[in-house]
Amino acid sequence: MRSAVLYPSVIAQEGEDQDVPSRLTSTKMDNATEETNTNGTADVSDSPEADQDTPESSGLPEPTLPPKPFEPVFTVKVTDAAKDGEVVKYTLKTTKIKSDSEEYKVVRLYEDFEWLEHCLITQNDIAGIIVPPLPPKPSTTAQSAEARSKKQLGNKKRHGSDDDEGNDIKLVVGDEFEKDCRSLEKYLYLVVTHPILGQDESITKFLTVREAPTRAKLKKSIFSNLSKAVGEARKGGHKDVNEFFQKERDTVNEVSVQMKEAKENFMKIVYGEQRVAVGLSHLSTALHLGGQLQEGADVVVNKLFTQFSEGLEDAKQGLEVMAVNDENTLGFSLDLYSRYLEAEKEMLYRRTCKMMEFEAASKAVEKAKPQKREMVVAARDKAEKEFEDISKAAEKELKNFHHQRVLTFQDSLVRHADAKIKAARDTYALLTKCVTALKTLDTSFKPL
Amino acid sequence: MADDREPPPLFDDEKPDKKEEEDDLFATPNEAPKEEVKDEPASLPTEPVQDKASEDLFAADDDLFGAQNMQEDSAAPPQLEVVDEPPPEMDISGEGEEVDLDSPETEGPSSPAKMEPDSDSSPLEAPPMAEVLPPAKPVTEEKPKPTPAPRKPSMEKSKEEIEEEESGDQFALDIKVHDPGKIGDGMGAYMSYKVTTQTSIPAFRRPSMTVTRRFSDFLGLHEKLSQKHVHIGRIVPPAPEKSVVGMTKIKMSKEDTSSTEFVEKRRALLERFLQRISIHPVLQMDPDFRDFLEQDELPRATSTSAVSGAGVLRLIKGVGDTLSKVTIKMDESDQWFEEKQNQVEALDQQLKKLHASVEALVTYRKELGISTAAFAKSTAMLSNSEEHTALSRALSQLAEVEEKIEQVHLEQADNDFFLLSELLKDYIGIIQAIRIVFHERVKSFHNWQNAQQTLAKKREAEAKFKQTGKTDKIAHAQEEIREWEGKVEKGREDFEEISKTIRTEIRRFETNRVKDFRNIIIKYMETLMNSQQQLIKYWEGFLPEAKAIA
Repeated sequence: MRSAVLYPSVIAQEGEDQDVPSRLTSTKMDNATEETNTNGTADVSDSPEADQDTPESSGLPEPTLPPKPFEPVFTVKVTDAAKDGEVVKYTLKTTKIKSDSEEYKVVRLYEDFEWLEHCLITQNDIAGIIVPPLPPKPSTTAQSAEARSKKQLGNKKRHGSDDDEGNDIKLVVGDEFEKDCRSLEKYLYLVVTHPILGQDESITKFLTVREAPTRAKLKKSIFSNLSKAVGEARKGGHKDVNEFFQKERDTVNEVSVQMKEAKENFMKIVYGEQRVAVGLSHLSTALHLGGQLQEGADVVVNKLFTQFSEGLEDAKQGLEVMAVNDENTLGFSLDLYSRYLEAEKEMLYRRTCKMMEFEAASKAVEKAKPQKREMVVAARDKAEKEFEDISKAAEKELKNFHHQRVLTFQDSLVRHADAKIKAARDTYALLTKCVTALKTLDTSFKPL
Repeated sequence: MADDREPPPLFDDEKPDKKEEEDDLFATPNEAPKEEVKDEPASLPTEPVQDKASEDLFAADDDLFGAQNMQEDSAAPPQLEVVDEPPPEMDISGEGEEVDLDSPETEGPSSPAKMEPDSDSSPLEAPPMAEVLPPAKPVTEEKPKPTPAPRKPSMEKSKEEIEEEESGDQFALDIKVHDPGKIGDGMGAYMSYKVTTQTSIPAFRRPSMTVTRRFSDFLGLHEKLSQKHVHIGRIVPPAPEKSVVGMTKIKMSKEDTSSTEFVEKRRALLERFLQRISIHPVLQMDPDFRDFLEQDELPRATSTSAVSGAGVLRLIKGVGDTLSKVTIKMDESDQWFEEKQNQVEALDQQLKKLHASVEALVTYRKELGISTAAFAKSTAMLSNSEEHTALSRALSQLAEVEEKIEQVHLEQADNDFFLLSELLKDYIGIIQAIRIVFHERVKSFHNWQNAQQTLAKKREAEAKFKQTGKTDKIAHAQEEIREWEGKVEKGREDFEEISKTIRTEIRRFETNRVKDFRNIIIKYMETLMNSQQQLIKYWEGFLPEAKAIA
């Protein structure tokens, strides 16, 4: 059961019968082309199993933990992102873990991911689940590129940012396909490895079927987002009956803010590194605009400058490498968990709502008149069961979640430090070479 | 700047008059360490360090030549000669070494004869000279390496040339400006600086001394040196800039990072100013300079204040000069000067561009430092909220690492600034000083031309008198003619003198430029390397913590 308030415009779907959800396009419908399959035709893949069979899912999805430990079925890589006009197409490569030979290659748009998320949310009882967050839609328009550039590189006209005629050199950051691919890949990983969500057939379809599932338009109504926010504000402060959960709620409220801030500040470092790299590059270029004389001191000075300029380029490259690595390691995790913590908050909120329902139902029992009593008690019992179920699920989920979080950060921090060390060492080596060259440069000259 | 020891200049003096100077030297009481029969003439304290004889006695230049890193070139220690007579050879560029050889064996005696006639040209007689050079080369190579101090006079043939060489730390002048302190309060407050000098130059009273000076004293020194030297073509290091904003902050007791930076910037600037003077062979021996370094009390240099009478005069003179720059045109028949001026202008452009780039770099780096600090704080907060102990500890370590890295960035930004930016600014200032001496040469030419014109007029007058039979006026006219002939001759001499001096100065400038830039660039690259090393150190320290999380 889902709490209807949270998911706007959901065309109601019961969780029990999910093998062939009527809502979803079944395999039959995939073949039909009456709906617009925007990317079906542009499919570049030549996957061996281009058939429409859906490989079996690992069992009936249940609202609570399946009896046997869950094992993920797939490994997915997002190998490529290609722009087709304004639309970006992502290529996904999937292998079945149990049998390596089964490989699938499909092309998806971001909207397909959104649809997948929607399906997962609506077809599973996600009450006690921390739903992996889908990365926000990457922006690919020119304006957004400029906006991104401004944010990263600053929009103040700076010294040295002119070319020879004094025109402002526009520094535009390129599209971040690489980053997007990795974010989406991580999202799929989290989904595929989730004990409950990973069993959803939508995933299988999403990953293995050449044509993208037909999508219904998802309306995100502003109103329901608002009411959601208001609801959270009102109920979010409601005291918990359970100490563990109360603590968890308090912590997540605090940490999610801090994590966001840390992520913002970290990205500022990355942008800062990029800016310094640009500064070094400008200086390096300016050193080349040297004197034109072929004799005298200028020759030597030009030689010095050229060598110096190379050294600066080395330093610049080092910084650029660091910036990229930073973003891919610690930056990535900070970003992911900024969003993931929000998902945790939402889950806890759902539980809080259930708790309040239960409390309300219990109060109702106390006040009930005899003739209604049975009904009210039944309602209360139901609320109690739901609350217990969600609490149990949540507890398990939280344990997994935090465990995964710690491991993820450990991994990121280690890779972050490793990358820094390597980049610094490489840069140092290059600079050493440069200094040696400078020191042995012949600085004799014929005075004119 | 003067980190590197200036090997004492060596020169050979073949000139008889040099000998006299030496005698003079011995006469002066100061000479304590008068070991060598030195060409101390450099320490010609007794003579006004005016002209020919005392030119560039000390190769104040740092090791550019031979001493330091040019080990490969040690064979031919570069010599900068100051040629007393302006032999044409002056324009010769040596043989690949910064040797301004005008061939030792050359026309010493002949050169006077070869004095360029009034056709201003010390034309680049490179071709004729060229032959001379190769032979010169071996000669110079025989020259003792910089280290052995005693210069064997026999080594040098050219009497007029004094060759400067570094030869160890014999005549070092090591100057430091330190301990800035605020004196007084309010608008009358000022900064005082300690100036400590270590020297082995005998002309100084003590080998080591410390005095207290204030900013206006430095300006006063610059004023005095300019008055004495600029008009004969010497490049005087530019005066340190006044900064109303910076000083007002100090006076108002604003103690913040920007005022500490300002003070440090100024201190370093004053130090470089003095060091540049100290490596100039002539200026180094200027008594006013010596007084500045030695005297406990200096008369207040009130004339340096912008609003003083002298200041106003300076202003007027400056305006006049600017106008004259525009109006006086000179037929430059000496291509060397024209090329040099163009070159200097091109250099100016380049340096200004570089300076702008460096300033941008400094800003970016400082911003990076600030971002790093902000992230460190966020990380610390995360660490506090984190329940998992090991992760919390790792995050706390991360916060510390990031704080240290912030320092690395800020230090590097300082290096960007103090090494590169200030160097560029200094040179832009020196170029301005160069423009000034070029202009002085133009003025000198102008004087000479005027004298010639007047002489011509006087001659005409005399002829007229002769014609019209005004015999009484003839004698007077002839007197005037003689007078003006003398002036013309003087004008020509002065012009040639200044031209010669400028050539030497420019050569020294070029040499110094190469050396300065090389040294600073290397030093700067080394700071970049150092930053990387620090990063490695900090991150390697962090790695085990990160690994130990789970």
